Amino acid sequence: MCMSHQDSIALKLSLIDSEKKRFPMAAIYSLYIINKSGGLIFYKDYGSAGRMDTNDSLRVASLWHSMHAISQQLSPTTGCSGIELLEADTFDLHCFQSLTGTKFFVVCEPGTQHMESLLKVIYELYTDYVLKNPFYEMEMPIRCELFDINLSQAVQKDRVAMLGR
Amino acid sequence: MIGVGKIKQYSNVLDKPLSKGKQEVSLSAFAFLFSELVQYNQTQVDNIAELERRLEDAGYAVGARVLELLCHRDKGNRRETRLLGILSFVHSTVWKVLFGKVADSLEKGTEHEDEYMISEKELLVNRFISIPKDMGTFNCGAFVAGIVRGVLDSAGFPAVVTAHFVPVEGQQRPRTTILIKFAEEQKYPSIFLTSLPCLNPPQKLGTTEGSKAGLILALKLSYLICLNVSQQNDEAV
Repeated sequence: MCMSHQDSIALKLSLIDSEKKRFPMAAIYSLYIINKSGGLIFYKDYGSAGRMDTNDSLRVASLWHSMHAISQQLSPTTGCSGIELLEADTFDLHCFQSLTGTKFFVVCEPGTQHMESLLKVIYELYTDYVLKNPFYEMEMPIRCELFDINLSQAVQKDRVAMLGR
Repeated sequence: MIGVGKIKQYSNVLDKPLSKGKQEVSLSAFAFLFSELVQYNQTQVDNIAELERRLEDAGYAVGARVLELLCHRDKGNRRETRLLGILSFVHSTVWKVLFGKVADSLEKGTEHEDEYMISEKELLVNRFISIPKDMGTFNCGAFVAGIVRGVLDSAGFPAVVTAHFVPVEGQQRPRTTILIKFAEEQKYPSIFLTSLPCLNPPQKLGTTEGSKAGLILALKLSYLICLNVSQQNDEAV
C-alpha cells in the first residue's frame, strides 16, 4: 500500500476536522486574576481564540473590575455581590469573587458548563501555592512555578472531564 | 482537631505521662507559620547565604529538642551511639514524627567516605514554596537541614548539613537532598558525650517502672558533678 505524502497530510487534516466537530476543544479561552484594586495579577490564555496582548489584557481587567463594582450598585436586589456570568454571542464570562475582593474570571466558549467549580479549584490553588509562598508579595503579579504547574494540571483535568461528558 | 477532648489535670507535672505525640496539626497552619518565619528572616538579612544560615539555626533548636524527646519516648532513654544507627534514627523515627512518613531514601555518598544523603521527593516545608528565579539555588529545606544538624550534633556526631535541589529525569520538580558531611574523625562520638547522664542514664536506675525517677536522679547526679567541677576550678584559680 502506498500513499503520497500530500494525501496523508490531507487525510490527517480531515481527521482533525472531524474530531474537532465531535469534541470541541479549548473550551476555556483565557483566565484572569485581578487584585482588590483592579490590577491584573495573573493572565493566561488557552488556545488561539480571544488572544490579546498585555496592554489589552490589563485594560480588560480594570474594565471588568469597574463594571463589577457598578453592577453591585445598580442591582435591584439588595446584597448583590456583582456579576457572576456574562453571556455574549461569542463567549461566556464566568466570574468568582473571593471574600477579600480578589476576582477570578474565565472567558470561555458559549454554553460551557461547570465553570463555577473550576473557578473554585483555581481559587484553592491560589490560596495554597500563592498565599502560602513566602516569596509572594500581596497584590503583586503572580510568579509562582508551583501555581503554574498545578493550574495547567487542573485545566487539563477539566478538559478531560468535559470530553467524558 | 487540636485541643478537642478533656485534658486530665495533674497536681504534679511529673505525674503527667509524656504524650504519644500522635496528634496531627493542620498543614495549612504550619505552612503559614513557616512562610512567616521565612519572610521575617528575609527582612533581617541582606544576602541569601545569611538567610539560609538563619533558617538552619532555627531548625537546629528543633533538632536538639526532638532528639531529647524521642530518646525518652521511643527509645527508653537510650540514644544511638553508632553512626549508622543515628542516621537511620533520623531517616525513620525523626522523619516520621516531624513529617508523618519515613524519608524517601538514605544513601551513602559515592565520592567521599564520610558523606550521607537523605533524599525526599517533595519535602513538606517546600510543598507550597516556589523559589523565584533571582534567588538561584536557595532551598527552604535549609530549615530541615538545621533539624538534622541539631539531632546529629546533640547526639555527638558534629556534621555540616546542607539542603540542595537535585533535578530528576522525567520529573517537572526537582527533589530535595539533605547532604550530611561528618567532621573528620567523627565516626564515633566523643567519650564525654556518651557518658552524659541526662542523655544515657545508667540502666539500673532506669527500670521500666521507675524510669522517670531514674532520669531525675541522673539529672541530679549530673548537676552535682557539674558543681564539683566548678568548685575544683575555683580552687585552682
